[in-house]
Amino acid sequence: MTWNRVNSLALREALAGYFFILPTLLSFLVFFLIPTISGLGMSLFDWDFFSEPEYVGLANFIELSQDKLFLITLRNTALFALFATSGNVGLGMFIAIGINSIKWNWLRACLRTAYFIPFVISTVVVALMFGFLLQESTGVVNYYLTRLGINRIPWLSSSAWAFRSVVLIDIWKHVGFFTLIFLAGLQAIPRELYEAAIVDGAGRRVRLTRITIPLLTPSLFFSLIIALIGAFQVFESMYVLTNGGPGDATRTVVMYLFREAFGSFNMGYAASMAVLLFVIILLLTVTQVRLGDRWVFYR
Amino acid sequence: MTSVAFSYGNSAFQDKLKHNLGAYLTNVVLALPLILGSLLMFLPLIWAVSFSFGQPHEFFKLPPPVIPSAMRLDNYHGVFERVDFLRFFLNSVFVTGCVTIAQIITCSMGGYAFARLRFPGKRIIFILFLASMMVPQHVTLIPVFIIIRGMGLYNNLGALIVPYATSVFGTFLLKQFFETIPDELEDAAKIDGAGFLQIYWRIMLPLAGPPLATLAILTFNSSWNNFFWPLIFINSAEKMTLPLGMIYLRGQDGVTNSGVLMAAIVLNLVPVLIFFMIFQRRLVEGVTLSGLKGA
Repeated sequence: MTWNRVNSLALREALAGYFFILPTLLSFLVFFLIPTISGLGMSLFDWDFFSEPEYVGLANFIELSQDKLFLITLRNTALFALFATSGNVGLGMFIAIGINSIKWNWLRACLRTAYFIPFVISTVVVALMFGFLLQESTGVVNYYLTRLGINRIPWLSSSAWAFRSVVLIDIWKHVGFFTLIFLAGLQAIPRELYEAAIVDGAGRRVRLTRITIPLLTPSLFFSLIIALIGAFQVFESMYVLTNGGPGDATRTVVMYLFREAFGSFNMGYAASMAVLLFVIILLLTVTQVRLGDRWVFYR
Repeated sequence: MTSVAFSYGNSAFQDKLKHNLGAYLTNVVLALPLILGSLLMFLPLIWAVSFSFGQPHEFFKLPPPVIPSAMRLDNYHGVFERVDFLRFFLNSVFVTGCVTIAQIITCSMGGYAFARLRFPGKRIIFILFLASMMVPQHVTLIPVFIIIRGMGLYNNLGALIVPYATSVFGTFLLKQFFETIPDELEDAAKIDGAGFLQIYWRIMLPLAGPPLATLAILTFNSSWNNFFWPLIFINSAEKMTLPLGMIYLRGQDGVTNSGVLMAAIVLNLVPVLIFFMIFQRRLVEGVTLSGLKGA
């Protein structure tokens, strides 16, 4: 084989490679790389979409740090992320451990299906449905609560409860997803470990705390990361269910961003919010990965 | 089993019975809270169905009937009187179908190239692709909005398809799969003089059924439920997909929190639940797979 031939073969392979990645690469450039760079740049401009953008340096970020509404939405988002993540991941883990320890296969399959169903329903439909069921005076949920001797709960009309409702609905929708992740993690634990532990006389609790939970830490780590990334971008359920209210009790960063961009046409300001959100998510993820080395148990 | 137990004598049988009973009880005790919890998952859906058949005055009657007095279809008629629900449905089918087919093609192509072909810049491009999964879509939102408008796709179903015609996740999924295919298969085809296009089409693609099915189902689900994008790009009723159509319907006279809205919700749930029943195994597999990749 001559050098020429080798070269032409390599060239043909390279050309084929570029051809095959062309659609993905084009989409990546047009809908990710260029928009990301211009999105980052836009955060340094004051722009109302119709007139010429004006360079303002870091003014948008300084304004953000003093914007009361932004700080409220940031606080709401962080609290939502905290409660929704711990609820989803914590409950998901315990449901998975519970399901996994049931001996009857049919029941295991039924339960897994039941918890996973809400995941496939769109957030909009879920929010509309709960909006109906959770009405204060005529809602079914409150009706049955009063029958049990509990006072009507202002699920969506008080600030504190609206926030709780949104968290609870998020858990209702997503807990099955995390259950599945943990079930997969549980199936990956070798049976021999349990058998050896039983031979050594380890009881249920010891097996749970010394084998199951340590070997589930990789699943836990992964779940925490994706749950937190998702929760910081929460938008749809609040937009549909409460529209940020009452007051601003359930307004999130993305809702504020959306309103600034497509309601008030403060494009630069909205872009700076997006950049800040990205930085927060990135820092949280990096911190988690760093801390992960200390507590995640890799076999 | 009983006869075996008896052959070991009476006390052994009792032990065995006690053991079985113990296991049985543990199962029940463990299962009970889980079963109650799972009822909580179903209850809202059951209520939605029962209210969709109910009459307006029944909502204010206490107790609200779980089974409506008569199976009336008035609410369902109400949905179709107020909005072109079938149009929303067909738009959703069209958009989701296009996105899913496009991703099957583009992701398998990209996955094949990243897994089996050598070309300069491959590593760095792939790393950039992966990094893009970390960036929230809101960073790119406004520039993408401008680009889509520039393409003349504003208020066009194309705006919901073109940006989703490929995905980094899908490319990654297929790359992982194509890496497991033994070299011998490809070498044999090369000796027979097959080009890369033929190898992709004749060898790789037919083998990739399972991961492509997983990708298709995950893509279908997320595209079907996509709300944010239509909210930004669609502003006329005849271009709306189901999730946005639902919000449009809620804005019509006398629909907010009514049986009509519940009927529309049920009309939404039925196809999704059928989809779930058919593809449950694959869906669970897909979610688990994407979970395990990260773990």
